[in-house]
Amino acid sequence: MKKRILLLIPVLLLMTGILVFHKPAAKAAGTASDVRLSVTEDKTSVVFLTTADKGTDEKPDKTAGFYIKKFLIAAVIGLIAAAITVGIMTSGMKNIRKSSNAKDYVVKDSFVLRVSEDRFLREEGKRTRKSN
Amino acid sequence: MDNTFYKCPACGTALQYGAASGKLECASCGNTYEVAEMEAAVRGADPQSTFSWGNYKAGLQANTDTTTKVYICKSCGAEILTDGTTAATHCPYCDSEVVINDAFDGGLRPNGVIPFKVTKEQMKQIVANFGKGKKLLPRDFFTNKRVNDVQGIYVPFWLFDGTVNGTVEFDAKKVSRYDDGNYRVEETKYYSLERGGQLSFKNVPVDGAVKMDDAMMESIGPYRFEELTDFQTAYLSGYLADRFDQDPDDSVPRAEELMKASTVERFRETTKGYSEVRDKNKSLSVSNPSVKYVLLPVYIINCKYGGKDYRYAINGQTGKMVGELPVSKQRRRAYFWGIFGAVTVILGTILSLL
Repeated sequence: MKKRILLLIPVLLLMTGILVFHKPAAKAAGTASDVRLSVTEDKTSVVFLTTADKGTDEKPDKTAGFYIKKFLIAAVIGLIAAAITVGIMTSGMKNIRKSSNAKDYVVKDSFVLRVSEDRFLREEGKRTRKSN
Repeated sequence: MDNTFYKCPACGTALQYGAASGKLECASCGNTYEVAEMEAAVRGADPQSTFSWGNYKAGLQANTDTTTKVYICKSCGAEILTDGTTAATHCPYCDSEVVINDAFDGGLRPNGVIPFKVTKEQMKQIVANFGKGKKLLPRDFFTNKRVNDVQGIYVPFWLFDGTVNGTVEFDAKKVSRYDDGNYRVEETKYYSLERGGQLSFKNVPVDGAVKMDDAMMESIGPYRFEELTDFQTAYLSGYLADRFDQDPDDSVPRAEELMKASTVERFRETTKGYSEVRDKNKSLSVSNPSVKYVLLPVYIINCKYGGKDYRYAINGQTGKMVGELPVSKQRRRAYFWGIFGAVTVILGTILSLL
């Protein structure tokens, strides 16, 4: 088990490194001008494509900070998941519990219900405006 | 002090009660003998138990002496010091099984006994199964040496019978939610419920040995009490046995508590259709109470691991095992960081790709 964990550490570091320093692929082949040829003379399309032409290349907004933030979130969830799982595993190591009742020793068909009354007392209502 | 030593009529070796055969067995020549047959041979007809609540209590007051006692082994003549509550034991010199009859004389004689059904061979499997799937268990914990150190012991129990009568009042509510235009409406209706009647119980066990952990003894149940037989000292041969040292008066509150809790639960089951039901007032009493003194079979395993004592109990009739297993700190650490690492990498990758 210890060996497996030791093996996991470099894999984890490698994957983290790849994700942090990996840049997304450059924008798809072809430019807005190529696409323009295939569109109709719809004004909206032309305006959009002109803006696209002026614009810069698709810059990846996924910087190192972005990955660190995502991995920090994952790490916090990982910590919680590990704590809960190990907590459940630890509690499973003990099966001594005091009985809370004597249901195993009830005499079969001995239950007799003589009184069964349900009395309505009051009613309360709450109206809340929907948020949307 | 009188004691009984069950010898093989054929070869003279000490006999032991065999859990699998239900007979007294000779490990030397292999002969087996019926319990009643040997009992009659050793002491004649078994005196019938004349238990009744009043007499029994009177007997208790006179015989709850728990000071140390001495008995003489009939096999080798050794004088052995024992706890005053011990009813059967091994002679540490010749390993003969000895039953100390004094412990069951008069008002202390048990009304019944459930003989051991689980053999020591079956126990190895039970212990192995108990550790199965426990990822945090140190690998070297359940060794054969430990399993061989198992001691079969007859634990004294009080069995209570009784009928719980009375009424229980519950507070209940029904909650309904629905939309009304731009509003969300929540309506809560409050009710007062009353349930009354009775529920009977038979053989509610409460252990009568102070030395035994109450929670542990309750956890190994239930026993199949239909297999309860008349007490005969021959059943104790090969096992340890303790006399009770907890008065039934001290056990009555626990038995009542369990019976009443079950009765409230049974009443609660008749309250249908409510979002929430809470018991408010209880007026319950136990009628027709009676108590029996019985010996129930328990295997005890005592282990020391990492400087800490661990004790396990196995129901000698059903094989149910209870106890607290040690946690390997190394394994716990490995699982913690393993899960943490795996979740972080997988979840981190997914989040990054989104």
